[in-house]
Amino acid sequence: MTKEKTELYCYTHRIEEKQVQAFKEAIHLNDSNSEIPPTYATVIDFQGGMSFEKLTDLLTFDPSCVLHGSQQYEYKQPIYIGDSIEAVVFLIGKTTKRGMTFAKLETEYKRDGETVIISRSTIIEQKGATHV
Amino acid sequence: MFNPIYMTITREQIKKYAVASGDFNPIHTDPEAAKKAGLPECIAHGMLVMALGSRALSEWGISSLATYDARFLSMTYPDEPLVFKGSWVDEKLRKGGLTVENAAGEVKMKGTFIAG
Repeated sequence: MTKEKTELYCYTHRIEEKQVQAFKEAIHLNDSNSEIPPTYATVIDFQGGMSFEKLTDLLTFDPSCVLHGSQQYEYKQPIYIGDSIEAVVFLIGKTTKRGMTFAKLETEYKRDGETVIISRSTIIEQKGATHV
Repeated sequence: MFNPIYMTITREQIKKYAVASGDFNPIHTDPEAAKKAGLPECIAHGMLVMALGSRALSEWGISSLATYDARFLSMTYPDEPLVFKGSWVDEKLRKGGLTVENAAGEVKMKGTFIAG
């Protein structure tokens, strides 16, 4: 079991109007806010550098059996189209129980050095699953 | 209790969400990969369900959030009719909860939020 907070990865992503629009369309959200939707940080991750392959590689997880267990967001400041966000991903803990490995991640999203969002998530590797 | 909101996630929406979010975990879009992972078919992204939950919150008049948490409790399949239910737990403290379940009452996601 790992319980030390270790930095896994960091990246910078500029929030583009086109990508925000595509995300809103995918969830059928019709608004003209320049403030981004509450779960948009997931796009900052995947489009900004923490792709699914990168994530499973860093966690040494088998990419064929990865599930998302939980997700928490703490919003410190609103973020907008055009903002440049620096994200630092920490591994908080990794435990294995009954063939499942649980990785707890914490990501700090910063704009101009100031924390705007904190994300905490649990990613699960379920090996040899016949039913999940 | 807010007015329940009914939604159904389609295969097309899952594909659209994968492209828009950049989450290309193959269990969401590749039926063979889903089968290898022990699933009968592709499943929706938990984050898609959570994003739709945030849309429900905004439809309920909660436009700003201080926190938003979700636990993904069971798989969400395409074309499953879903109901989003929400209520205040403590309106003074602006704390609330929401659940997403299918017609049989199977809970897909359990969430909490604090309005900003």
